[in-house]
Amino acid sequence: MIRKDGAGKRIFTLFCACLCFFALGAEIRAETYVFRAEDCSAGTERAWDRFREALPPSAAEAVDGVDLADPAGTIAILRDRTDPGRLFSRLRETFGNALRTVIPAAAPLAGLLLLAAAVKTAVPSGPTADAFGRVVRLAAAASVWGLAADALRLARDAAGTLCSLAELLVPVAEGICLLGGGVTESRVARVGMMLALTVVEEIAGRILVPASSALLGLTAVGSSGGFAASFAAGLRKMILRAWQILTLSAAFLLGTQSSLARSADSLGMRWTKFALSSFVPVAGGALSEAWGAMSAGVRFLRGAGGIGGILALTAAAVPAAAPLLLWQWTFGLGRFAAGALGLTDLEKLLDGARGVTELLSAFVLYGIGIFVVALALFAGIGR
Amino acid sequence: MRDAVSLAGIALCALTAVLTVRETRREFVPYLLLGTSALLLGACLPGVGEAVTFAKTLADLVGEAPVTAVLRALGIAWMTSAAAEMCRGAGEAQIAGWVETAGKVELAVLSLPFLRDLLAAAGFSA
Repeated sequence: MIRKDGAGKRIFTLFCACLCFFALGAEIRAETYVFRAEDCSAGTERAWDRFREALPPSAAEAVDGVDLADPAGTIAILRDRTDPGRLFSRLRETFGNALRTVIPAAAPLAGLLLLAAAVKTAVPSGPTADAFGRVVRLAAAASVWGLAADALRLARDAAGTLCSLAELLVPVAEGICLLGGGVTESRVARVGMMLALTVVEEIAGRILVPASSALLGLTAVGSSGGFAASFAAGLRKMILRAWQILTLSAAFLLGTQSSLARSADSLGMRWTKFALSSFVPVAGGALSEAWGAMSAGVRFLRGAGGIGGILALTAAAVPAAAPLLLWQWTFGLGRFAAGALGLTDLEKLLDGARGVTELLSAFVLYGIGIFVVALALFAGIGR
Repeated sequence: MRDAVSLAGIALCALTAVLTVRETRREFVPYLLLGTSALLLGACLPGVGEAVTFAKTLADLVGEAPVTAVLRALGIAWMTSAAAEMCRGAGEAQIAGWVETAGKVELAVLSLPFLRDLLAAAGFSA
């Protein structure tokens, strides 16, 4: 019962004044909020367009039609693009194209093995046999090194493409996080992606390229066994293990940081919803529901941006990684053939080359993996 | 098969001749050895044509430089080995040693372009 004496009238008047004030004020704040959200959304769309323009033609096809302005439609397109049958046929096509490049380039290797096997039976015994053997080893090392240098160039280009595309995805992820009110998570996403970028770029430039050249040199020198060959094998294993540990640690760090940031932002958002529904009269409930709807829309956007990013990155980087795997298998096959023909020196040389290409393909694949994990965490896959 | 039997027959005849001549005219033995060696080397020459054809096929696959270098190295090794054996057969081990040394130097010079290629690939170009 409202009291109609003086105190009651004053309280009732005050209540009506507050009601009018909050009703009008809430509407203005909502318009302002919508305006800011649109501005943020336009920036994210521009960043996504820049990312799409930078994609190579084979990768651009993977995200063709993906538009962040229409998340629901985009999800339908991405659902089609991630169909297992379609992905498998794309993978088969990629490896088929890579095979057509690698087989003609591997012809010198086959010719070298045949030459060495034919010449081996005709070498006269005596002191000049050792000198002749060294000439053949050097000729073989020069040919194999030429092929391995091509593989090294492929790995460097793949790392460069991966890093330049991932860098363009950072503002997209940041913008989408901010749209959903995830301030902490946008910072974490930016830092995480930049950390992954720095690790891949620095490792490629400072360690991978010099280490691969050194390993090839050691393999050429130590093809007849001895300290150089064992040192090369040990160095290769050490680099591979270190890279595996580094990428796994980075993925774990990204996961924990992302999870903690999301929890913090989720707490903030829940408090905001509660505050809106509790402290904003009349429009508070509607605002709270609008906030919830907007959060659901941002989750769609996350999925679209994250999965689209994963598809585009893998479509750009896998065609560069496929020849590396094929070179690894080619050198392995060559090593087997050299062993069967009794060419022990060539067998060790080809084993060294196989080891270097194994290192390069592991680098590229783990590099792709770290970005896929970062984007999967951002998209919330598995939550 | 027939060529191998003929060559074995020539070698055995030469051996018999050398053993016989050594008892009577020792000074003619080196000439007999030289003649036999030249005959046996000449008998291998027809097979070289087929090897050259195969080498051209390999050159298309591997590249001209490695195939040419390896075949030249093989020729140097053969010549050196044959000359050294002839010298030893004639009792001149010192000449045989110098022939082998010359052959090794030739082979080392032949391998220099590959060393240069390896250094260039490693980034140490002049």
